[in-house]
Amino acid sequence: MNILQGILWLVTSMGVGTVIRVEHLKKYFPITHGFIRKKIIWLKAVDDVSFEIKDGETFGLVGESGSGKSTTGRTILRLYEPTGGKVYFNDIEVTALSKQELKELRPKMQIIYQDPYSSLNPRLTIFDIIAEPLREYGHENVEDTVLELLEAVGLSEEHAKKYPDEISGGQCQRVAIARALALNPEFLVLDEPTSALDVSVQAQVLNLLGRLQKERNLTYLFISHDLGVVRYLADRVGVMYLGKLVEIGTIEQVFDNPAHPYTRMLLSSIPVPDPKARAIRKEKVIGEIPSPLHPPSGCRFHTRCPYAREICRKEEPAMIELEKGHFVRCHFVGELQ
Amino acid sequence: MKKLLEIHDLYINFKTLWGVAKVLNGVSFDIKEGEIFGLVGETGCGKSVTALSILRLLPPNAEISGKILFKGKNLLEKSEEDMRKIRGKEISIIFQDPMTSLNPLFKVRDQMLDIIELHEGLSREEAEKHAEKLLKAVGLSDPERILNSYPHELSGGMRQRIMIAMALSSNPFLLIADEPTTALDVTIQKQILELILDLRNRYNFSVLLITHDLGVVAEVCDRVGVMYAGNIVEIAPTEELFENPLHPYTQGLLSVVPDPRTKKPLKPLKGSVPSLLNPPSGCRFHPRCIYAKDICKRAKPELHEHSPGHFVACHLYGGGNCD
Repeated sequence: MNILQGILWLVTSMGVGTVIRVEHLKKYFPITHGFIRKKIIWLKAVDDVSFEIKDGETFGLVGESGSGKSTTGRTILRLYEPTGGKVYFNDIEVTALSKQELKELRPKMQIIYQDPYSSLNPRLTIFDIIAEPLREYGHENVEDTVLELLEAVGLSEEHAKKYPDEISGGQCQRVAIARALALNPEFLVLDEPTSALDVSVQAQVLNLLGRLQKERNLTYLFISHDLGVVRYLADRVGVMYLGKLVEIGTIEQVFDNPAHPYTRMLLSSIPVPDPKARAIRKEKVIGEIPSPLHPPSGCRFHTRCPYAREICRKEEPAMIELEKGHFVRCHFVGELQ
Repeated sequence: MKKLLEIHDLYINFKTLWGVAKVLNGVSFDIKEGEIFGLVGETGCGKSVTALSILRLLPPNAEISGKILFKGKNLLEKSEEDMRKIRGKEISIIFQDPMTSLNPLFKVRDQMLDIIELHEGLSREEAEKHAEKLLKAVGLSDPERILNSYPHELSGGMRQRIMIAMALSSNPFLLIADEPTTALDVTIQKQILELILDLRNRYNFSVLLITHDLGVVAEVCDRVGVMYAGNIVEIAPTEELFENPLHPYTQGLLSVVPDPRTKKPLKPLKGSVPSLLNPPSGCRFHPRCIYAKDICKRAKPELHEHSPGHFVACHLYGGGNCD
């Protein structure tokens, strides 16, 4: 077992196998107005985002509502057509594929959504929900595969005949996971998969996702606003603010040594389940997230940044590598300590 | 400190098409003057029903028994007319979703002034001055603009601040906050929690804070009650509860909260919350409890004081009806 882990570590640390590579991804939505749908303004939901996800890794994407994290996840899968930039999946350029080619690739890339009730068809039984992708892609032994999948996500044969409204939210989310796994994907986008669940059920689903990742060597893009959950599941993390990535690093780099003022504000805002920690959290929260329709000039965080100076209003900072693998988008990154 | 609110043995049943849901199963706790009391639990444990029952805002299919003493008087015996004088004046409530709590068709001015005029008997002009003062007190620096806005022109955080300003407009003794920050982003949540703390320190009202988030509890509450399936299973000062949780459910709950400061393993409770149409006998937690004994299936454990100020309802800790 130890030797196996050692080999695994070697393979991953040699940098073999980047599963997802996102380069300068952009997604702009036109905001239209009036009867003739005249376009008035672009909403830049994702604006020049680049990162990589390695084989078997969980990459967390965090940020507040409206930061563009869900749009990033969906654009990577081309559920939204990107406005610009490229996405590679194992060296296949996803953004250049035709519709037919994309359909052939779909089994390898799947997504799980936040609300398990609205992402399952209420008129299908659990069996048919999981069987649907198998039939669509012409698999044989549908019945055996469905039962295997049910077992893999901790459900049993008796659930197969039920409808989504007859089972709990946690069980629905397990069904959504089983369906996503049906075609043996390599890469899963998990879009707030536990946000609609109670904490005790959330823990069950998080542990399930962790176990399945090991068993099936899955690569996850884990989108969440809950930093506690991200710390639990992710290996590396990217912090988004108004469509931009402002910090990327390993979980330890970002959570224990946050470099961007926004990351610090975010981390010090999370209520910690420990009353003794009350006094320690000092970073003050200034203002609210501005409308993404009219993002601030220069560094988009300058309106809320306690360290903002003249240059922050004028120039957008570049991504700087602070230490190996730890990237920060801030003019004064070295000076803030 | 004097007790402001005392709830004794509150039972609430809802008659539904599918049977009788036994939603509260003998809930007792009290809130002292100037105290922030947290009520924490998972979906369907009865925390919101408890809050609504204090204001007698439950739907007509609810059957209530027990006592809710507010400043020594039983609210359940008050006439509807008396209750109208208490609601919004002596006891105020703010809800989770500030989007739906404000009427989208009226400017903030009309909604705020109506309430202030009604409760305080002020003229329009005096009410307007009072409203501006309140908006400043909740951290909205441009009250004139806010009063002239429609709710959709304001952010979620601003709307929740307005709700707080309205709730505090007549200096209530008790503020019930039902998941006040659940719909907000964490940075805004922090601002709102700090605001509630700050206002409590200034005006010394009591707060009943209802939440599912143990982090929020740790952040602002003085004392906490933990609810499970219609029962309060444990009450303790906040630090004591987190340091020395007694009830197996509280222990379980604390061990499944992901901590952003460190990666610790999560040990989920087995099973899920029972249906209240047909709740388990005895201790309602017994089917999920790793320590469950025979007596847990038979007898409901009563809340008793295990150490000073720390109450628990569990047969593991004795308490009268245990062997």
